Amino acid sequence: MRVRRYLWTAIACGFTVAVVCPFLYLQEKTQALPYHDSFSSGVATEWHALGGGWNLYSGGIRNDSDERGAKLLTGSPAWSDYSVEADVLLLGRSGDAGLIIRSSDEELGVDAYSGYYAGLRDATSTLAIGRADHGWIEYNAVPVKGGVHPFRWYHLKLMAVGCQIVASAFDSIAHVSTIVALREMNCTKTGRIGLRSYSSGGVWKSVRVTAAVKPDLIAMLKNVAPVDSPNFRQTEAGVNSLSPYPDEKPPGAGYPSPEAGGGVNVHTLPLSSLRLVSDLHPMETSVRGSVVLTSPVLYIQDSTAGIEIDSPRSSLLKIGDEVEAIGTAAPRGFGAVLRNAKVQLLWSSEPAPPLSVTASQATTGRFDGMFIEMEGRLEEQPQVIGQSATLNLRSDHQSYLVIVQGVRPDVISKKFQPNSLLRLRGVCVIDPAYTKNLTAFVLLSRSSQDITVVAGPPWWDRRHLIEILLALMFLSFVGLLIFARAERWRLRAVLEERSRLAREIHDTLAQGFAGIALQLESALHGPRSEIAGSEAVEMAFHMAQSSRREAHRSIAALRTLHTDEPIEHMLQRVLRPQLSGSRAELVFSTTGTPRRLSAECESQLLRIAQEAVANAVQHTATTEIDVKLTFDPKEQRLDIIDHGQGFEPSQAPTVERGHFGIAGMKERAEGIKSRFEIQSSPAGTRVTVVVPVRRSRTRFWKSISLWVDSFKPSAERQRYS
Amino acid sequence: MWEAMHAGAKAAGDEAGLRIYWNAPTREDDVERQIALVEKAIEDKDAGLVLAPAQYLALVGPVREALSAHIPTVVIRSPLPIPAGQGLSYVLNNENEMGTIAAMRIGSILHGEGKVAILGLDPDISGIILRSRGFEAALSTDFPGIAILERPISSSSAAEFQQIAQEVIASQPRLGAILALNIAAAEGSWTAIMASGKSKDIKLVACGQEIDLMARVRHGTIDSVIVENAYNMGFRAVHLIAARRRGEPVPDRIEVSPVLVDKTNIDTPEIQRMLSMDWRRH
Repeated sequence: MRVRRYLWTAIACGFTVAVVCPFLYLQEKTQALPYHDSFSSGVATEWHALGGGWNLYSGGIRNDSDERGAKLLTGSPAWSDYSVEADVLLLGRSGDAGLIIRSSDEELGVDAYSGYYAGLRDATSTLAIGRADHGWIEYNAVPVKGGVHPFRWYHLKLMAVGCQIVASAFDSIAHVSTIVALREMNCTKTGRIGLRSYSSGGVWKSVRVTAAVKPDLIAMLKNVAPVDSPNFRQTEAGVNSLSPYPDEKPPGAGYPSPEAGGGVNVHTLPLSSLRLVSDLHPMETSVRGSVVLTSPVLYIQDSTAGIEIDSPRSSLLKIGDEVEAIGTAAPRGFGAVLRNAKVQLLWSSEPAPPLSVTASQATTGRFDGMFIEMEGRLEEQPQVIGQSATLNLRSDHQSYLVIVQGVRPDVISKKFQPNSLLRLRGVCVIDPAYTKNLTAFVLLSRSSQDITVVAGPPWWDRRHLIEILLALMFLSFVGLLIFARAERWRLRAVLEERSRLAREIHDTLAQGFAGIALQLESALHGPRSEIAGSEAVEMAFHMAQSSRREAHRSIAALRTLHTDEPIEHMLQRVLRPQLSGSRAELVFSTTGTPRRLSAECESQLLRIAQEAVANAVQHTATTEIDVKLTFDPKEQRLDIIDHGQGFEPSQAPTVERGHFGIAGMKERAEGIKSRFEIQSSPAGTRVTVVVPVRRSRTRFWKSISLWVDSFKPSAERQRYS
Repeated sequence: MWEAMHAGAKAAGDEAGLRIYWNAPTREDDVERQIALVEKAIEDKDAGLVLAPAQYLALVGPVREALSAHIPTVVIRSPLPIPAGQGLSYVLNNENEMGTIAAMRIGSILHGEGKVAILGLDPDISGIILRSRGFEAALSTDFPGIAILERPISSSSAAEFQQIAQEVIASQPRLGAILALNIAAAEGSWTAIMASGKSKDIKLVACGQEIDLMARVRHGTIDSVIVENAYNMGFRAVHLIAARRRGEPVPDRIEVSPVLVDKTNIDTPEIQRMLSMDWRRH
């Protein structure tokens, strides 16, 4: 019973795990609507970046990169009819920023996703809508009333219902809306949402996703007819016919700049020359370079060096922007800083690739202020304070710090484990304000995407070793439990077999010997008459013969257990010899379709039949013994019926009286969980054993059973039906 | 340019019954991502690989791995230091011809006399060097009266090119034209010319394909742009792969002629198809 209870417990546990795990997985995958971003709370773990440099920024999220097609994705692939909206701000020109809807099959790459996109494009001042399918198909681009301006917030909304996609842009300053829509025959029906920019940085905030229905779509369309196919603007002539750009002004003069500057300055110095300036003679100068870091401080670099720019409005710039800065140059560490600088944006461009250096090279100071890439092993868990994380790394016998801004704390802690080998990109800074004179330099990274895990921590660290040790101990404990349980089962089987054999010996040989001994004793010590003595010896002789037959019968019965003979045949073969010397006849009958029982069941039935027949022959003076086998679907029944004199139930032989026959039959029947009955009357005695048939196994288990049987020796087969 | 190349590749793919998987790094200098894309093609056992390498040397190993995996490979635009053959072909822009076209154009607009500056000379890019040499050779042969004033070496940003161009304009009052060998040089030179107010006196001829450059051609602030025939390169690259898969002999190297785009021909169907941004149309 205990084994069965354990088995059911294990099955219940397995079932629970099998049901709960997929449920939890699906629940995680299928986010519920409505959805609202958690940027303002500093948690954005549900978002997945593909390209770009994404940082939390003033309650929103900011992509600081001019990469072509940087994406940040979230939501459920099962979302179907819904709208996504957000406040969007462009950080540069000649690019666009917007929203993706029904996205799937996303990869790193320019247009590497399947879904719909709507974005604000400042070069042409348009709201564009189209479909990406690992290639961009622009359906329409309509001019935005009031134009599209960098550093201005627009409320962008994109809705998909059925196969109609509609986008609207609301200019919060001009208070005008622009709407554009498309309709497809074979549309993408479901997918996630995304934030995307192309050749421009951007900031997104208040991202909301809500379920949508047809009336929502009609209300949003406002009589704007969706286009059914990509329009003519996919040509150069089409795009440039929309574009108010270029005008006759150079970008530095007419373009909205973070700092109000004049025209471009011809007389600028290479950045490396600023390393020679003196504290005693600070120098007013103009420099140009590409932005490599915007937070916590602004750094620019050219092909010769990099410097810090002390500018109050650096957050309006983005990585890759080419700028001109005018200010007072002063030395700092191995490089320089341009104080009180006025910065003018010249060009928006892609970020510069980093220089790959070693930690030893970085300590020379030659790369102070430069955007570099290096590797190092993380020495301890990252320290996260607010949205700033500090990582302590070691490489080339040098320790150095990496400071990352705008991070998601939980992501940092999970992603970067102590002893991991990391590849890092950032600006090399040799400044006691950051190093605290504890390390030679620090790397100021732009975002957590600048840090990649080259190799995780080695598996043999202390924690893993302890875990493995605990697991081994647990497995050993379980193994011991199983071993102890198996030993107990084996011991019980041995004991059961012993008691069965004891029963056999007792029922046959022991009783026989006892009887013989009694007769011989009577012959030796009884009345000294020849007749009485010879009767006793003759009785002893008959008893010895009977015991020998019983012994043969027991041995024969034990041997029959190992044959493939059907039980109805076995009964005939074993029971008939018992009748030799008696007047009784055996009559066999079978009802139903014969089937096999387990070896144990058949053996016990055989022994009960032997005992019942033996009793009938010895005690009832019957002339006919019926042996009936009945095969019902739910049970198998054996009846041994004699037509002798019967006995009174109260006078039935009992163990207390030294008779083990009936008790033995009962025990045998209980051993195979069968019902045992004896009915006796003056007209005869009926011994009945009813064996319940186990429920039929499924086809699957039958096939498994047959497959297992195929490996057994042939004698073992056909035991189970 | 990439959309036109995609359109050409798709046209040839449709013709040959090949499906085109198109992808590119979000940054043009992202060699690691480009290597990852080559490895994906090897892993997926693609029928062929068309690659516009981001760097001269970094893609050598991955391309050799693709060839070892028996993936027919075509390198387009600029070559790699791997000999053609054994599954590798090149479909390249004819850089020498590009330089020659530029020389003919500048010789024509300066009427055979004057001064020209070359910007964007990057010794690390072989195509740029070939372009420059082609220009100088044609100019000295056909227009000996035109002097080349400056050919500063630079490999950096538009801002630096702008600064260099301003210095050249300031120091050479009789400058008649600037040849910008790449897009960054064109952007910098255009800005410098506009800032100097000499857009009528200094003609700008640029190499490269960019929507803004075309707009300036339309506005007349850039004289002309010599563009690579990207559609043709994409088409021929996929066509070569299909032919190699059929077991047909294929040329090791094809050089595609560039085309000069100016105000007079920019709206012709041929040029518009070459500048197409719809990769589905061909």
